[in-house]
Amino acid sequence: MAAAVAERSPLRIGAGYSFRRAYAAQTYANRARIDVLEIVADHFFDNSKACRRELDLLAEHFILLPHGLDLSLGSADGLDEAYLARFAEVVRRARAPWWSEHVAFTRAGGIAIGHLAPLPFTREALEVLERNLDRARRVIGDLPCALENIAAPVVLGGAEMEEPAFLRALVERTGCSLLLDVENLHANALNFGFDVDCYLDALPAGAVVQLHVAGGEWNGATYVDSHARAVHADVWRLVERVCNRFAPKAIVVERDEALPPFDEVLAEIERARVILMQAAVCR
Amino acid sequence: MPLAALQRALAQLYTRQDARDRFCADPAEFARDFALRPAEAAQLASIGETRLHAYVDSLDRKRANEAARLLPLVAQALGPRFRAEFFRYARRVPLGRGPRRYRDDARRFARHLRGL
Repeated sequence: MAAAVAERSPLRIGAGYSFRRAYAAQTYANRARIDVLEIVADHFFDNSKACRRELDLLAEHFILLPHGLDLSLGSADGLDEAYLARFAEVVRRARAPWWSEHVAFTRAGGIAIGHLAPLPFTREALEVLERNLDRARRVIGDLPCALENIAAPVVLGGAEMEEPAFLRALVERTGCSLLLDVENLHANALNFGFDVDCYLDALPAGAVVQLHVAGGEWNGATYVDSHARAVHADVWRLVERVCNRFAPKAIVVERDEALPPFDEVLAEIERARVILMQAAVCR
Repeated sequence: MPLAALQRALAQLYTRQDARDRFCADPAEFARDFALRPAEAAQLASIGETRLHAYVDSLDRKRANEAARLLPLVAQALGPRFRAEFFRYARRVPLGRGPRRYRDDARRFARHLRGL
């Protein structure tokens, strides 16, 4: 089993954002203000020399955290070996302290869903995740991984446990760490009405190594984690509580749509860094 | 494996209009088509039509955003009609597989527009 993040990586990495090519020039120009870059591995699957060079250049200047969108670790059909090979190559070139993916499935029966779909919180789903993660680790190698909670568009009935108990069991069975997406947690709490503190109480204390923060918006009666808005004040307050409780190593700001002037992204990175440092001082 | 059958049924529901029509008309028969056991059939039925359609809309919006990013001049030229036409196209044509799926999707959508 791959070593957990806590045993393998620096005490604290800091704050950064999920890299977007539209911001490439500003990213390099402001690298003193960016501790870490998450890269969406799928964006670097193009096997051209230019793409490989771009990834190498980023790795020379930043700590990179490769993040997968479509490994589909929750697929009962198993992993797509071609995707896994590409993903592993990006992780290798990124020289990362850990890689991350989602507690979700994105394909089944030969159909690509196009986004993250929730798993039922059952023992069978845990077994599938464990089996697929084991296969992924055989190809990617002995590097820690962190798995992320998703914003659930639907909730499947028949759960044998709540989500935090499911994540705890996943950590215990696989030795993975957790990437806690605070915006997703916020969205799920609003849409499905559960107590965030009870959720946090049930997570394994030492397993949360990274946070995602992002902005969302209301679409009718549903709160959507659109990644198209500034991080909401309620989410920042939740980030503070999470940092005080779990002391994560890194916070990554996500912005996918309606990209703002880069100064706004830098301001959110700075705010995340301050929260991370204040939490470290208080511990 | 019960989960594999459930996921196949869910993938159809999330991506195919004809599957949603069959599910909404008769969830029990839809579950039988995928040989779901009663427990998985109940899981499927628990989703609810409102959340299912909201999720499908979000998947279509994501596809439309990618297509608009890959076909910026077409999106600019068509204005609001770009999305309206994309959603009509997306109801009929599911997203393909593989790392180039959004590029392939945009290409297919461009061909769809040429055929109008």
